[in-house]
Amino acid sequence: MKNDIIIECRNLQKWFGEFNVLKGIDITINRGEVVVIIGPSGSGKSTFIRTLNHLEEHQKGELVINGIEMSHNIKNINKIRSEIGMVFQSFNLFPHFTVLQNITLAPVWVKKVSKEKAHTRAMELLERVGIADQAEKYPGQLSGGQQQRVAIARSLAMKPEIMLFDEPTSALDPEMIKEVLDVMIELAHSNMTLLVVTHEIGFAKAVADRIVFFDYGKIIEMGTPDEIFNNPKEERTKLFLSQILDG
Amino acid sequence: MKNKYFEWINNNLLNTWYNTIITIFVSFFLFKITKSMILWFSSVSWEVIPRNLKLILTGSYPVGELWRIWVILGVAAFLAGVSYSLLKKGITGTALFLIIIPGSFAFLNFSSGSRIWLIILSILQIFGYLFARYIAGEKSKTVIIIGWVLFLPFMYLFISGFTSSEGILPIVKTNYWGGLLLSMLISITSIIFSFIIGLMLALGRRSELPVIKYFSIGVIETIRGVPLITLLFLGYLVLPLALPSSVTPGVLIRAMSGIILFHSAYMAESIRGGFQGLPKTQYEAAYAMNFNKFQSLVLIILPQVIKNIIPILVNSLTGMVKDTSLISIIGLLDLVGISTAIAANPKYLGDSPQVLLFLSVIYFILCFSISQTSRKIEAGMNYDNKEAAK
Repeated sequence: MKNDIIIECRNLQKWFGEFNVLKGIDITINRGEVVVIIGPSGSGKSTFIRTLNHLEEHQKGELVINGIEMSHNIKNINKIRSEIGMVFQSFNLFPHFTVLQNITLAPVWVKKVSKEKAHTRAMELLERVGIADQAEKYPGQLSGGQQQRVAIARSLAMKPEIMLFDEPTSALDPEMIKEVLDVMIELAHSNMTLLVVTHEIGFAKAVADRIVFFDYGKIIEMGTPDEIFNNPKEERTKLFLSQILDG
Repeated sequence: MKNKYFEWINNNLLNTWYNTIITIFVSFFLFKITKSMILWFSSVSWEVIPRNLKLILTGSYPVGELWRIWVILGVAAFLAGVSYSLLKKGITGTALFLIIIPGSFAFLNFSSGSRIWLIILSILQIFGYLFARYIAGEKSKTVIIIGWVLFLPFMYLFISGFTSSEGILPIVKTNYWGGLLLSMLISITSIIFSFIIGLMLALGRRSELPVIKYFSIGVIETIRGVPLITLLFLGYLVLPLALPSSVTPGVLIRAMSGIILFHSAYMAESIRGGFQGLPKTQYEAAYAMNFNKFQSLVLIILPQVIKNIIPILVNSLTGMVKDTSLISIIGLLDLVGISTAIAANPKYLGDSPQVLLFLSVIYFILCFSISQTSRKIEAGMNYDNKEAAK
């Protein structure tokens, strides 16, 4: 199953008004691959992963996910979204539902799973991310790290093929980063396709199959963690790495 | 000899020479006003209130059919009782107050028939609560939702009647409805419909379809730019001219449509404010989870929007209750209309201050109940620091 392509981008372009955020992205990602995207802020890396589930619309180029072409056809968008889970920087849990309801809501309403099944599955997932004891609480009563783990469980409940992480640890206090990264590392080892935008170099070195360096709306360089971190070819990559590793 | 009241007075009222002077002046005026108020209270005759109580409460609704209103109140009392079961800590202060109030009114100088009904109202609330607790159990929520949804049509059907004069529920024409009954009917109907229409206008204004968007903006801006009284007169005077008489609705419906339209426009803007206050990320999370637009709206967006705009909603609701009094201008005998009529009666010449004061008390109780209830609801929706119910 390795080496079969799950995401294929050809010359993907996007504008915000006059501003060209993505200036032609070409990348193919294989099933089960863990891809970490790094780059300075404003480089378009978040926008890129948000185009993958159509939270942002691309204006030019081709995007094929799991054999489905992303177009403006709402049916295709829904099909693609049902295969992609997304974890946001600010968690974006639904504050008026309990943790358990947050996780069961989409399976019950979107996938029409029975309440009992969804409940059992949700408890399994909470067990997996280590906070089963918080199931009856509201998101507002949890710490940031716990909320982010709930958000991961919520995405997993839809049984996605691909998980997108948009700076999942950037809004967290330092002591909570590890608990979230641990869950992500466990996911990375479970053969799921992961796209992670992050500044956590340690995480990238530990689990990434490939590092992609973004700047000015383009992919500047990509390769294995060893290639990127130890022998970067491009000047801009070197500069960026020296900045984040020293700082 | 320093007790704490004396100390408080000393520290807050007499702490500087100018505060002392202000305190003396204010006390003097307070004394004057209170004295004249008490004198007025004891000198005027309050006969006008009990003599006209029936008129103030129900207008000229036929005496023989008053039992229908008691039945409606009974149903409301029962549903209220069932609704108390939603309170997590069992019956709390407000609920207890609502239970005791009708029963305690029975000790006042009412006719014996009314006294029995008042006691029944108290008993029905308790019965509703016990029913929810011990018989309906988990199904209480369904009972509450269906009950309250059906309540409005039931109320109208029961008050207006539908059989001939020999039948069990003879038709009572709307021009016999009046007083508190009419004010309440119009308030409840306006609140419900202007919320629904306001919500649709707010959604319309946010729509991506230009036709719907500009239509909604047009409606909102046009209605907001017109005084309510103009709308009422338009409905009262112009509509009958514009429409053939066979399809022209009655005065009550025309007046109510004016109020509903007017408040829908304001409601729409309040609700739109709520939508805009919600972070965009909630929509994104909903779409990323593959909820369709309708599900996102109903399950995720609306509950949060409503929670956020409760204070503004209360503002509108109390405003609406009081605005219903404007219909007296087009000749409907609501609370204000009927009190004007009473004051015009030569028998009660000069008694209108008493009637107006009584009216203010009724309006105050209505609006205060709305704001109290809303505070309870707001506290109940405060999920940030709430322990989840097991």
